[in-house]
Amino acid sequence: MSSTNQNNGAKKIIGLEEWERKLAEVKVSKQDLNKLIMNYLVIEGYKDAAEKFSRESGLQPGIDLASIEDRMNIRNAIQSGDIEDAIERVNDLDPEILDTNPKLYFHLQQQRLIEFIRDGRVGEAIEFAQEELAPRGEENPEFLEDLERTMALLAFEDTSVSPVGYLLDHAQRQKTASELNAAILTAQCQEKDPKLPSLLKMLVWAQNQLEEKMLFPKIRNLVTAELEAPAPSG
Amino acid sequence: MTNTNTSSQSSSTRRASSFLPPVLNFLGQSAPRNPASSSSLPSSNMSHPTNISGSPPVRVKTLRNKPPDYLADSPLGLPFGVDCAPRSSTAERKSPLFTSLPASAFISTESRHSNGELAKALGDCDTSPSEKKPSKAINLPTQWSNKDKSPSLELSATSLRVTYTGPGQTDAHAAAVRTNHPIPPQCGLFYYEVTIISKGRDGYIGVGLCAQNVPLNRLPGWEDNSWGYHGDDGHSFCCSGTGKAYGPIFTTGDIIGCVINFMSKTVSFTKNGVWLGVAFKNVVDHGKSDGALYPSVGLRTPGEIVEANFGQRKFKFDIEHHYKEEKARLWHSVNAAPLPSLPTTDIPQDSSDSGLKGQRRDGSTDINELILAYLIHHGFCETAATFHGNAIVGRSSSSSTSGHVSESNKRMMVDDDVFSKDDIRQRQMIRAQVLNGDMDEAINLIKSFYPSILPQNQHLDFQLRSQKFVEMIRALSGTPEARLDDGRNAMDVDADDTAASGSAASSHMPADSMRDVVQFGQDLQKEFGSSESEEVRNALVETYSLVAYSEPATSPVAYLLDPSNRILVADAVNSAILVSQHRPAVPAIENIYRQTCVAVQELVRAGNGAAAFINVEKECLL
Repeated sequence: MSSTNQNNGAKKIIGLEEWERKLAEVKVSKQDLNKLIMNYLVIEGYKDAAEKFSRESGLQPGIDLASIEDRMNIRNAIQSGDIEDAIERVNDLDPEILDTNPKLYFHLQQQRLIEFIRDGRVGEAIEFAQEELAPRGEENPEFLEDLERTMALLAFEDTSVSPVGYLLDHAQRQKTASELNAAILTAQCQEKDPKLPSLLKMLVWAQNQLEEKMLFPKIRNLVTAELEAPAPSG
Repeated sequence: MTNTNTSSQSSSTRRASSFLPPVLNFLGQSAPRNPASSSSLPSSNMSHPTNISGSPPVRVKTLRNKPPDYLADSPLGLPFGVDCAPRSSTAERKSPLFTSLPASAFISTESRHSNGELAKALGDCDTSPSEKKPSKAINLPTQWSNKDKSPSLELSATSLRVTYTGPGQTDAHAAAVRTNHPIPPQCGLFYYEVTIISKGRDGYIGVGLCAQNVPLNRLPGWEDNSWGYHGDDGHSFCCSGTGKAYGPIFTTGDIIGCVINFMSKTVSFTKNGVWLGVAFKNVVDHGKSDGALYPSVGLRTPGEIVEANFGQRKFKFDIEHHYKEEKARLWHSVNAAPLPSLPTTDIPQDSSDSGLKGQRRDGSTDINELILAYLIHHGFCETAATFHGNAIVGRSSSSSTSGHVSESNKRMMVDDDVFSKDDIRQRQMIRAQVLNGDMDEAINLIKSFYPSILPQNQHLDFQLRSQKFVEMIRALSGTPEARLDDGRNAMDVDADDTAASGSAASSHMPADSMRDVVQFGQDLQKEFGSSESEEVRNALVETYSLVAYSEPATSPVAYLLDPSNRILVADAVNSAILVSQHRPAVPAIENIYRQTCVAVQELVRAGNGAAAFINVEKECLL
């Protein structure tokens, strides 16, 4: 085992046999793990898989699976640039989401402005900015800054040289879509982050920390999750 | 799982205390841990109140000794390798790691009724030579120590209030007291408050902590291994007679709190519920095994009186919020780290249909593989196919059109052979038969689909056939079939034609005569009676004893009829098939969960203050 720690030799070693006994003592049921899987499928929006899984495992998805589809549709609308459609869908789903979240609503409108500019609809873009965005910008300096940055897109004929050209990247759409997705999940009293990735990160963290103290059988490959016995010290 | 204890009162007590480490002794009293002291039950039952047969006094005591609320989630109980609190009333399934025989085969009646495999695990744990102090309780400081105090101090009856009785002339007349127990790093964070009842003549009062070996005629902070915050000047003293400006002065009526944080290795103070910031860094050095630290107060002039609160009353400072903030900080740093062994090339998101799935952060490819493997492992055939189509094939095709295929996707495509629907379906059919109790059909299917399994696996063969014996008895005695409360019922309902017909067959099957049953039992005896495995021989005797009861359902071995045993058998078959295909007997996700739990537990045991903030079970299982 490679380690920068010099007193490797003095480190405690837990062998495979002892470690496996400890592993066996951990209590976890198939039902627990099924829930972990369902949690991932639901939050990540794998509606069909979640449906099948619910049927095959007998586990309730915990939410209305139709709402996954709604979220997927809304997300897809934003990622394909149809912000109006997304706004309409969110309002159909739950009008409170945008009503109670002015920042999110502003970001959606900003995204809409970006899409106008992307499509070269300059006249519409300016009109939209004046009518919808400017009044809000006056209310909130943070919004105003966003608005100014977006309008700066119009100042460059070739947006690729513009310092704000990144607004036209797909990543900007994704950012907006994620913000909306998270808001919907919050409104539905759902967690925003699936637990499985956290589990993996916890494992990585815990193994790294523990390695400073002792040698123990480690899982290095997260996909196979095979234990690697600690090499003899030295 | 059946519960021999029917008292609703005691079961609610158990629920309320279920999150508590059973051996934690908040008031510092020692719970009876020696089986001989109160009953003849195995010791593993005694020290763990979730084992239902544990004696009531232990449970009551555990409840009363509830640690402060802010520590409710901390893994104080983990250093024993035991977190045996049942999360729900649903029967806990034996994990595949344990699967070699049904629990009924080798666990005694009483422990089986509580939780057989757990009792066994605990038994192993308790007798393990590697556990140096298997049953040493973790104690939190709960009061000042009558023994570990300066003679110039007087304690109240509750040992919380301290009054100065010395001459108070010079610094040499200072007087300090330590708590009954040091602060266990396993709590991650410890907090206590001191109310200044009276500042006395001069209010030379110090609040802080110190090691065991610090003289008690000094105020906290004046000596090595001693740290304190002093009321007369508001200075902080770090192992030195000279303090430095830290916070406001404090006097009669003020409440001073002290936060010992084992994650950041800092000590901070609060005054009247207001955070004063970090006073000392790098204090908590648990590299030294003898470096245990005790809360401590020191008084110096006549009339000075202080009273401590170690969690008996509500704190002035919102320590729960602070605890959560610290925990959130840790989570943030844990989650900020990228996952290793990930494909470095991120797959472009332009393809509209893959937009949603591909969007998630880096690790999703690995996670998708883990999930797929899990679904295949347990035979969730339809889900696996759908997930494979949505999450993996969709991504591969979108990435190949854009000119590159990540290593992981290549691997996945190659692995498509492994993703054999036939195999999944076959395993599913076998499982359905076992769960239906049609063991003959199950055995036939195994023989035809996986002919090598049974000849190679005597245990499994025995398990299947003794289960068949049980099913014969069940049919004969007309024991009503309890429905499996396991979620996999749904699969029975949806199962394919073969399973459905099998199910019909089993319910209309004419019951074998007792003669047939006895005959079958004798065959079993002939074949396995001289087995080298003691477990097998014992299980055989136990199973065979079913015949002796006219009403097996109410007999002492009635648990053998529990339909949940079918699940154990079904799991064992599934694992055996997977192993024969050189695939893991346990799905990777389960290994990861177990590994994470043990790694965190070992960290806590080794005194890692940050790990004490993590409760894997609570974070990951819903």
